[in-house]
Amino acid sequence: MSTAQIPARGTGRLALQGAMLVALALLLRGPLEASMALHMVLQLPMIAIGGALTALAAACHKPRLAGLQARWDAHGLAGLAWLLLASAYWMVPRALEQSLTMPWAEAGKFASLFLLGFLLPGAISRAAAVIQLFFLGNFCAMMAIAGMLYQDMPQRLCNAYSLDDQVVTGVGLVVASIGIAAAWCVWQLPALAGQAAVAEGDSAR
Amino acid sequence: MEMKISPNSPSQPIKGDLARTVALLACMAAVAAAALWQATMGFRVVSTEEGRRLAIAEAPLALPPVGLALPGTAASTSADLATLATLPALLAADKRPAIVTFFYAHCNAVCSVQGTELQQMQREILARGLQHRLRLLTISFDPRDSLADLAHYAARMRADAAVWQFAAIPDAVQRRALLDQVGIIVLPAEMGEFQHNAAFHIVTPQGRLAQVVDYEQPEAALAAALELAQ
Repeated sequence: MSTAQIPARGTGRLALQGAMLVALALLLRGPLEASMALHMVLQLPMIAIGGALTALAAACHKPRLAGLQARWDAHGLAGLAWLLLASAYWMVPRALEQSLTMPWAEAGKFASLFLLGFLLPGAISRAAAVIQLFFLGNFCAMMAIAGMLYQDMPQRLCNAYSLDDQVVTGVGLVVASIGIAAAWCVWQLPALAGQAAVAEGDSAR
Repeated sequence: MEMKISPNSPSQPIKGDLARTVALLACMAAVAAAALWQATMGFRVVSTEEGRRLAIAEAPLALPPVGLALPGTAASTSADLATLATLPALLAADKRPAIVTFFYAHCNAVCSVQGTELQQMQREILARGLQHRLRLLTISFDPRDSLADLAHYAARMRADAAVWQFAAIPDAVQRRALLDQVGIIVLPAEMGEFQHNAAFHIVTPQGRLAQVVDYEQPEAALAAALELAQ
């Protein structure tokens, strides 16, 4: 997450990988957007991850940009709020379907998700665990609920996608929300436990 | 306001400015709200189909002039005996508003449900003596449907030609144009089937699509067409 973790040589490769992910999401729009599941569970994250890799590279090469972002994103509140706003928007079936037929909606999709990915690494690094828990918890819950709704709907939400596709997408969203929540626990909980132990030791002293 | 940075996150040397963050948050919320307002048509719809129905109800849609092929009576089902008419002409030839549906003759899923609904609707129309006030028109979007197929389907449904007509659109470009205009999306599915949004389309004799009613609400479709018939 920080500039110190990534050797300077690696950042160029990171930026390249990020750009390639976004370019792939754009070039393969046809096949990716032909299926609701691939569209939501693969293409949308590809754009966001592309943005995140670019941000990690930029943090090293353009520290001033990272500083600017930090000043406008105290405690990661803005970046994490954008996570909720952007993800909620693209889970609205009509919004998703507009990106198939309207070029400006497609452009907005790429821009909003790239921005999301670009803001997220910095935002998470600035956010206290409780803030991360609040936003990621909301995000995962929202995605899981949407996923369950997609599976339970007797009728199609998108005219461009079949009912079977909608059910598969719903499963994908639920799996993704559980995966993200589990990943956060694996990443954050041991360190939090350590912190708690240290605090206990402090108070015992 | 001092917060502990999460243990795995290295502390950042640059302090965030809470006032700027709140300003940025407000901007983000405004952008998202505006986008959401647009995508949900003012927080009224979630799905594309709901949006299509609402948009048509608010602003009736002029249907494009497309050439229709109508199967003749059961006795004359060959293509050369078929009547050719354009959609506006066919609608204008009659003072009655039409309940238009789109289907394909080989359908085993939603169109057969819709077909049964239409059959009951025809029975209802005849029973209530409404055949002079409205009519049914069913248009095939499947190029594989021959006029003989349509005539066969009509016979199977016991369609009364005075109430319920069938039509195909021979020209592929015109077919596409009509489906696009109305907002019918046809997805090819397995076994040569299609998935498509089925509904009752209430069309005026002037060729304007006034309302779209869900295919599970034939009563509402009848009522909407009768209202136009005044």
